[in-house]
Amino acid sequence: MTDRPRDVPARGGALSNALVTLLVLGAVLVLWTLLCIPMNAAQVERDAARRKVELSAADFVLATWAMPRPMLPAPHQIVGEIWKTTVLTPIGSPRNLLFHIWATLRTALVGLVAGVALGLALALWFVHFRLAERIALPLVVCFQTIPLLAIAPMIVVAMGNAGLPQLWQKAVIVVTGVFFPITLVMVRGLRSPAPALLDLMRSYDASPLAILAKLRLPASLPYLFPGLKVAVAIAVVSTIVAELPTGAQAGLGARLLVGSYNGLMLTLWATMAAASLLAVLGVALVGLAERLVLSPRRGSA
Amino acid sequence: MKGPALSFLAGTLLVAAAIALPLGMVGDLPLSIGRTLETAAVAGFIAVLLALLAIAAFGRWRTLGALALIAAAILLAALQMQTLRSAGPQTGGPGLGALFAVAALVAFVLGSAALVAGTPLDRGGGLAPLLFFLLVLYLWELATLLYAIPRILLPAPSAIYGRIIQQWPTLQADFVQTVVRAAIPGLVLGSTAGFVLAVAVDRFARLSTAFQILGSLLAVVPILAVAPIMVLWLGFDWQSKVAVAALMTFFPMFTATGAGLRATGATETDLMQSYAASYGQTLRLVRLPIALPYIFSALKLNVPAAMVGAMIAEFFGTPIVGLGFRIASEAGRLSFDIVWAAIAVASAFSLLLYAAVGLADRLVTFWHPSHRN
Repeated sequence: MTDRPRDVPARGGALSNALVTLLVLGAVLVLWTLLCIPMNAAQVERDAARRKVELSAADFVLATWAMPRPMLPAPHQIVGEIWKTTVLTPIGSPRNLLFHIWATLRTALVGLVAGVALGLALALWFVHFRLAERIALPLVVCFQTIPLLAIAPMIVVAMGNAGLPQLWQKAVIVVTGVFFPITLVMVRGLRSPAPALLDLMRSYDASPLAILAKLRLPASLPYLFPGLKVAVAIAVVSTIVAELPTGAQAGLGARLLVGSYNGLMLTLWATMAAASLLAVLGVALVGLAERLVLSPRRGSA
Repeated sequence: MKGPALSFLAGTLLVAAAIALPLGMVGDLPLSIGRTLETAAVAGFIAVLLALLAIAAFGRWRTLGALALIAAAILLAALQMQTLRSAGPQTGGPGLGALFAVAALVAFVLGSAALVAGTPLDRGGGLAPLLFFLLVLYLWELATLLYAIPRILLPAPSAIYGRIIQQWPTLQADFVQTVVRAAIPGLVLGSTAGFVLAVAVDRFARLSTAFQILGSLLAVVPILAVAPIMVLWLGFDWQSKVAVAALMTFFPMFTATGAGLRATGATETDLMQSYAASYGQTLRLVRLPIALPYIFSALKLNVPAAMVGAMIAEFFGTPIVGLGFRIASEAGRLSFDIVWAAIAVASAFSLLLYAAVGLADRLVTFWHPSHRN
């Protein structure tokens, strides 16, 4: 029996892959809905006993899919909750999910831009000064092993005391999470041009700035985009965490706190879905930008 | 001879400026090292400093020079700290002398880092960052002495250390709850699950498409958004924190093991096939060793991830013990020194575990090119 080489994709074309994807997703949804029955059964029983009502088997199953605070919400319940809190609630109201999504998105974007700028600046510094890299890079790596997100509440409160505007308090947390993958990725990318190309630039008497602009930066782009995808995911998570200590005002993290303190399972799942959607959209946008920027340059260094 | 002579001259000038010029103000009087300490003591210190600078600048051996620079930095730092401590609280910020002293310290550290690079003293590249870290700690302590930084906001490192000692019973209970009962079991559970599932997906190729899809679905969910749901399902205590930590560590390990198992080259696969090796034999003898560097790098990343998961899950409900809980509640009460003490404990453990995994990595995958300088 010959093994297929590992990098050959599964049999079939794109259509077959799409069908398999749909099949898997469908199976997941069905299993999930079925799982709701045992998970919510105890709650339905208690509720029926309290109301002194006898439920037939069919009614019982339907009830497990319609509890207001279920242990495991059924998929249609989550969709219903999202619909209710986006379309059926006034836009400016803090009960509207979009209001919170926008609050989180705003902070995440500001933090992302600042973090990418910092990461880029650090990478440029490290590439041009080896001593700085030898000293500072291990320090930065150690810095990342500290559970920084868990320290977020302290940083936010301290900065609030120091008088920083709210948006920037949270954005700082995002920056500390985002700059590191960007730095790593850009250091590799800025150093990636082949020595022969660097020699060629030197033979043209190119200044370091010219080498940077014309050779290093374009060569680092294929490395930047995967790093940006990681950074986007980190930005979303960091923003949510940064919103946790500020007393639950606005943003998906605040929504999580509200749902958690009040046991609102549907709110929690809807917020989770919104957060995932944000992350997916961000990564997809970066992928789009990657294809736009990188595909015209075929066969470049 | 020009380079060492110039560096000796520069070092001497910096030290002279640091000693003569005022470090800060006490009331109306400028405070400087030269004015405060006994003349004999200052003269002795200056002589030793100059001798060390001379060794560093003119000495033949780089290691000796680096050690001399470090000793000079320590002496200057001790002189400065002694002067400031003996004078009492400062107001109005640092004087010129303090700035020159800081410049001298930075120059000495950079110089010793440059000298030591590549010598046996710097094995693993750890000495320069360590020196720099100590310098940062020293500057922090200095800043708290020279500026009127409110103690609640940014306490000095010595104050934090004092707090750790004082609050040790509480911090120890927190540590056990968060790390021993939640973060480590979560790390082990999640990493093992990720590893086992990746091997299963590799073995049964038919599962792979389904799992890729499921995996990418799971990967987009910010795990921390799952934390409150875990708390509602599994209760306030350590079980929900273990679940969150396990979820956070599962996916990186799953992807890394998958990538590592795919990294086996065609040559090795063909060779094992020519030996009629079974799947299990190939896995054990060839594919797992090749996958180990990937697995270890994921494990290294999983250490802080598990800590973060366990600590943040505590925001959503915990019995009144736990490092994350301690940080959040004491920050809310504005008692920042306990917050810093808890942060110090969490960070120290995280670093230690990361270093331990790094050491295991180096021992087990010593053959990998990334360990050669």
